[in-house]
Amino acid sequence: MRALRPWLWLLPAGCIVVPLFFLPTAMMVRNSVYRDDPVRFIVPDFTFVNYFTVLSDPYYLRVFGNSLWLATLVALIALVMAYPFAHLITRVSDRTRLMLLWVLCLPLYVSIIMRVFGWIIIIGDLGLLNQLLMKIGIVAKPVRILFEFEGMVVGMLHRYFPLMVLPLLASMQKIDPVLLRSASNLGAGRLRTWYSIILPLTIPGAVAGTQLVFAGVLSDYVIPMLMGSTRFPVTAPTIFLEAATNASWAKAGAMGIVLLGIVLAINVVAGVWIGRAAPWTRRT
Amino acid sequence: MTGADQPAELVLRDVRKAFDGYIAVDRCSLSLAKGEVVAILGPSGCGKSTLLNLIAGFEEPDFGDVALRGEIINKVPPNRRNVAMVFQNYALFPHMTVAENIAYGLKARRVSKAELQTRVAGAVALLKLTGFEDRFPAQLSGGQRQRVAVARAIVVDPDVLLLDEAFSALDRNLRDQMQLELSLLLRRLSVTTVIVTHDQQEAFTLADRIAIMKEGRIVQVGPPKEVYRNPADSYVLRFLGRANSLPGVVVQHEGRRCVQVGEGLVVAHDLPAEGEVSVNVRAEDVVISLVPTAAHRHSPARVVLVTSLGAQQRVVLRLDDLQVVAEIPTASIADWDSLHRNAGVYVDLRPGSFIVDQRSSA
Repeated sequence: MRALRPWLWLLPAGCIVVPLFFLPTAMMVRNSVYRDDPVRFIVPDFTFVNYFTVLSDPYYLRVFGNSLWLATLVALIALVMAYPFAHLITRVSDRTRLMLLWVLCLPLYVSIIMRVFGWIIIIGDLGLLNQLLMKIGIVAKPVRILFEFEGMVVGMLHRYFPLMVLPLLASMQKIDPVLLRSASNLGAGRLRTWYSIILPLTIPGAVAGTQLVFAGVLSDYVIPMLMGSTRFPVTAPTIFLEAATNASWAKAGAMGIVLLGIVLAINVVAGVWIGRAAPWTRRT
Repeated sequence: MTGADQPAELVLRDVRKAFDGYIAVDRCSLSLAKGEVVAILGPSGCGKSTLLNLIAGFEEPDFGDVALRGEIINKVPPNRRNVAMVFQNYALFPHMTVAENIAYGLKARRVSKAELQTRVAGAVALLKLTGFEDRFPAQLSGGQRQRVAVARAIVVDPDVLLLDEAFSALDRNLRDQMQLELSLLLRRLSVTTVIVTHDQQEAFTLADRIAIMKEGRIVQVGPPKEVYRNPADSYVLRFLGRANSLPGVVVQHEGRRCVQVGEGLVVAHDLPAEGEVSVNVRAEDVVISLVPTAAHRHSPARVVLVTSLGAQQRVVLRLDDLQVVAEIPTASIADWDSLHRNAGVYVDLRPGSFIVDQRSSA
């Protein structure tokens, strides 16, 4: 009894995680090895045919490829945007820092629907951006951004940028300012200080942020549905389509497991890579 | 070396620096000859770190000049000054190996690869870090980290080396050993050095001259022995060594101006002072005898406690209602048993060793 006591603290969280996450995941794993049947819905045959289809059919491969490309692009843009932003936050006064952090986290507080409406006003066919471009005379007719790949990228960035900045900021704030003084004292200018001290010391934060953004983008359903295009199908909406419209729960399950596998693999690779690129983090 | 006979390497001229109206460094002047080691000694908050930051270029003086080899460098950014600093907690780059840390300043100076390797190897050997080149700072002991910090600073062949409380993170034995080693190294390399410390022993071990700072000002500069023997004022006297500060009154005694401490001790004092005063005297300048001398009118002091410091014995005495601490060489008294608790002894102050301050009669 005494030995079990520490585990009691897990009970509240377990009450949520077990029935709402582990159980559905287990059911999905089970579904993925069943067979879809036009008449009887899913039939409990043990088969890997769904995985075979999902991993060989050009359509599904393209869907996974699209998702990976989108996630890579969004993570890369977010990373490039996050560095100066995080750097700024570490340098301003406490008051400004609070304000910047609040602005950063604002998208997390606002409903996704509200945000999409906001983007319609800005990047819609008749939005502010297009009106401006046409007024200046750069384009003759509106550039289509929303409901295209580009619009989806914008929406994803807006949604996942905080997840990139926060871990990066945490690792940047951990850098002892005296290290920067020390670099300067030894003759390093700003540029050298940045790439020889700040950049390597923030690798763990940057990787953590990239992992979060990657996982988020790969499994995002709402943004592709509200801001993307069906000409560029990505994984989560496709899974929903298979399950809800095509009633192919087994195939949808297999896709879900493959996606889960991709995210897990990325995390493992990233962990190994941190150990290689930042060896000081593993040996202490 | 007092700096007068050689051209000055580093000069601080009337330097002043204030932060939000608080004056951290107030009109400090100091001049170092090439190869000279000067320690700036003072309690925390006296402005000594700010002074160091002004030399390193992390701060710019509001007033006055910092000159290196005759050139005013007030506005030269830190990375353009050939001044290397050993930071308090060493500030080693945690993501670089020992060799990479040491090479950092050379890389920033764009030294050729071959020369860089030779110089790093030289610094590694000089600071006995051979075999540790590929370790990360987290894998080193405190003493090794300090060696890396020193190696990293001297490998760039700086015009001035700065040490900011560089020994405070080491335990006592290691500190003594490293101070001695560094002292020899600085002599060997003949590098102009400014040491900032609150540790008297560190200053005395390493420095040719020491500068005592108080509230942003340098109150006395000189070779350690001289500053110790002839403190400019009671502040310096109290700061160096263990001192007593005893209340007294100025009296006329046998036709001389004297100071009476407590009821029975009267010491001659010819300098001007009136009424209530403080008598500042080091523990080692308190003399104990078993028989009264001319200084004593009556009432011997009582021994409260005798503690052995090894070569010295610390004797805590009660003189009337005052507590007096004396430190006397163990060998100077044959019969320590006579100095038992509550033993009556006569206390005197070594002539000329004490400084009398006027006490405001508020």
